[in-house]
Amino acid sequence: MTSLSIFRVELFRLLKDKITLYVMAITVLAPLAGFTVYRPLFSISRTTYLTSTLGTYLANPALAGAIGGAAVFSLLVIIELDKVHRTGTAVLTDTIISPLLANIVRVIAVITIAIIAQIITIILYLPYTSIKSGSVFDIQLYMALYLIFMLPAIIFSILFSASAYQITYRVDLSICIFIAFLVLSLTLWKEKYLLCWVNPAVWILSDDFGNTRLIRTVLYNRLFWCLLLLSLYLISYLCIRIYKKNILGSIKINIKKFYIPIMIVLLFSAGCYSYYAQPFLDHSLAVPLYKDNFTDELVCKSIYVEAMPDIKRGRYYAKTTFNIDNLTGTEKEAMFKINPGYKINSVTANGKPVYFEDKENDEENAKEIMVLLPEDKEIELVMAFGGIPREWNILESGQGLLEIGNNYLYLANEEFSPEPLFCLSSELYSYAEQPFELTADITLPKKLTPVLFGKGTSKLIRENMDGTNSWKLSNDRCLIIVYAADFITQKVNTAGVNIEFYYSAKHKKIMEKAQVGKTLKQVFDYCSEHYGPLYCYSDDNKLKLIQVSAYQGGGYAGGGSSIMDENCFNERSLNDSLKGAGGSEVMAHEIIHQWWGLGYMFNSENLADEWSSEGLTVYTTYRLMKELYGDEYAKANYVDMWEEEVDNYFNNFYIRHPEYLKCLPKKYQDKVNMDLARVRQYCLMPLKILEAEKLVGGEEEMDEILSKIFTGERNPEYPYLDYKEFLNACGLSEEDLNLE
Amino acid sequence: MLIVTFISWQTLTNEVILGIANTAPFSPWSVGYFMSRCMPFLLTGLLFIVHSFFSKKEQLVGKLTKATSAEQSKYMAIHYGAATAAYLLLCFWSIMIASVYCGLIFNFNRFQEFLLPLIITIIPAMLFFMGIGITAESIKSSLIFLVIAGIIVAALLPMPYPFDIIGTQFFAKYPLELENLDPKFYLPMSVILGKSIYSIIGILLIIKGVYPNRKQAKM
Repeated sequence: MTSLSIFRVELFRLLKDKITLYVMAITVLAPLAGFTVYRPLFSISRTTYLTSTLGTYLANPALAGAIGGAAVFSLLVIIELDKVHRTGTAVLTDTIISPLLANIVRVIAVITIAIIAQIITIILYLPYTSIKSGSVFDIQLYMALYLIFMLPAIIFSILFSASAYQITYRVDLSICIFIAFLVLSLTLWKEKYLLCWVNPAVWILSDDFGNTRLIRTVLYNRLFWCLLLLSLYLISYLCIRIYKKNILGSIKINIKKFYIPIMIVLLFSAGCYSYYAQPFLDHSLAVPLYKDNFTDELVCKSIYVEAMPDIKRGRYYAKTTFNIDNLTGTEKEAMFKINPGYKINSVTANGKPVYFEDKENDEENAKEIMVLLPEDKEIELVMAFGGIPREWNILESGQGLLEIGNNYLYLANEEFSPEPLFCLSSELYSYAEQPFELTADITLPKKLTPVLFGKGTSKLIRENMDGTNSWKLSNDRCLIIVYAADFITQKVNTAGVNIEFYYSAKHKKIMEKAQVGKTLKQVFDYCSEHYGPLYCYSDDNKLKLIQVSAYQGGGYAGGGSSIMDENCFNERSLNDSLKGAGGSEVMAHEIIHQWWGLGYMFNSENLADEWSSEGLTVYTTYRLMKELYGDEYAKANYVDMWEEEVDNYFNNFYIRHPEYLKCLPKKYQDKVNMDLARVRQYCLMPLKILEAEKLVGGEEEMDEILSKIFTGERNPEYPYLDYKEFLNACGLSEEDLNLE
Repeated sequence: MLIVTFISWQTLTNEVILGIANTAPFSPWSVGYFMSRCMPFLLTGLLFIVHSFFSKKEQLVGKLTKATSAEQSKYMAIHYGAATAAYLLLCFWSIMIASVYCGLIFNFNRFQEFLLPLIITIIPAMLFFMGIGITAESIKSSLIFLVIAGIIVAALLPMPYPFDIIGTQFFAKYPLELENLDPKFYLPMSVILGKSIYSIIGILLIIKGVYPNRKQAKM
């Protein structure tokens, strides 16, 4: 019998076995747990579980399937390997087929069955996932997640369990060892992206902007475990008992196949190398390293960047030209900051190579490069560099931000170009006041439009024949933050501000349904008039609102731009009736957060606290809707709803009997509090603000108070609006607003 | 048993702990709700046991047992009694989990208050679906799966209280309609009537299952 025929016989035997069919059925059903009980992705809402659409319908089920499939296939391979010994038929089968061949054929047959089960899973869940994901569904991502997250986890569990059995020849011990291996991945190793073999470190999935970076990190994880587990399996292969010998006797005989120990050493070395040479995270230390490098003896007048992102491989290469005046008349060390993932290929000054040193002193996701500038007064310094930009190692389980892919590109500051540290004055906390020009040429896939954070601009220079476009970027600072995506631009002129809203083309239907242009105008008109303009407008009254990837994890504003991550416009969030009575009203709510939440940040003692940015935002949304649609509409859709929810809230058992809440274990106390926090933040606090409005004398008086709060001076050391400050501004106490 | 344990634990820690209809997690309403959430799984288990009485193996053995002097009706009654016992054991296990949970966390010990909501949840549903299941099996074996689907539909669809055989709607919503907070456990006449009708139908169908054809039985 040839190996292939033995494999065929074994495969068909397994497929006819009831246990195999049950294992396959459980594997196929396992992703269902991802819709309900096992949801490892980060929740973007503080009061209810909410993640991106693809996270809900794709990532969570794939991760749940990985664990379920890994567990049952581990049992299957152990049972199958033990069968001949349990039934006492090994004495017969060993005379026909070598136990070495028999074991390896069984393992390959079980892996083949795992592949079949995976194919069935992919086919079965495809219609549901594509319908529920709607316009953000991507068949490539769908296949990638199941084939990279779920299938490898099952194969790894088979290899590991088979190895455990082949070494111990004990079912109970093998199962215990596997359980330990599984639990390690789910607990102690879950923050280590390379070690979590069954639950890859995925914290969110972007609906609109691509997930290439994250997929690459998971692929690397799979490569690492593949190498390691293959070497482990080969070690266990040497331990397969033959000729009735014990483990040592069997190893002595099996090791004569010299290529196996060689393969073990090669695979194990490759595995270890891949672990230490991982290219995605830096080696930032916890202690600060950098000194103040500012000097007025070196003046950087302009920067030009020739940017060459390698979209296919997720790498970035560039050549930056600095025009520097050296006022010392002697050689001078100049420090630059760059992403730790980049390698400096060459540095020339006025066409001649100069000495440079990569300090490799990673700190806060950057490293220093020292360049010895010549004594020439005017220097044209050209630095060529590139590689895979690394992310900060403290965000090991939250990777994915530095995307360079077909759907999205994000490069910021020292990820785009080396930052000349001699320009930065730590005393002034700003760059020295001098005219500056940064320009860059970048070629991107046709569908990507670059947008710069701040006052920077981008201009299309050329449409190339190879499906790319060449752009010219310019900025008046020595740093640049570039977002490139398939953006749609909505321009709105309102309240004396020219607003450009950039959002993903995938989100077009949702934005149109929510009437984003009209909503923007309404919100800006209302909030600017009642509370004051946003502080982040540029000097020429322009504002860029940019929707960015979910990996950004929030938003920030300044210098004429404000960014909001795509989860602000999550379709399920836009249907949240506590935020607004419809999609466009919820959209208004999200934009109002530019004032309450971003324009003025909020601080609360804990996540379940009733004071948060939501209170003033919901109240402002109500006031806006009152102005647009009248008192009756606003009362019916906001105030009445708040009152109903709050009545229900005060009827809640734990609110009436807080002594029983204290009886609960902390985990359940938090759960109850988080459930109640939603009503506290979205209904109770707006009602309190409404009560405050009555007590201070009416809407106009409240608007004046809020305007003073918003436009007033802020303490730079504590730039938050807390409840006490709000009460003080209203001249009220907590008791005045007690609605119980 | 593992599945029942898992479902019981999930229901307790995700829903019941929050208190049902603004009542305490250890109120009769909450316990009744908890039991009603476990019912689809318990009833499915019951129907699978009933299904096994009509399996091919049973039918083959039946040819031998029918030839003995043992009365078929008694034989079937013992079978259905065993199924009922297994079902009640699983219910008891669920109740134990809930009781230990309430006892440990809230120091609650007035378990006698749970008796009425548990009885009206467990018994009528058991009688009704067991009767339907036996009838379905006697027509065609595969019809039992339709009955199981019917249990799931009954559990998920919102129904008026008298028709709510599983009871989830009743326990979750009826207390909110009453004037007082934390109302004492109370069964409106319509619900009593509904449960009684379901029970009577179930009993009649079970009796028909035990005594399928008097002429045949005598032969």
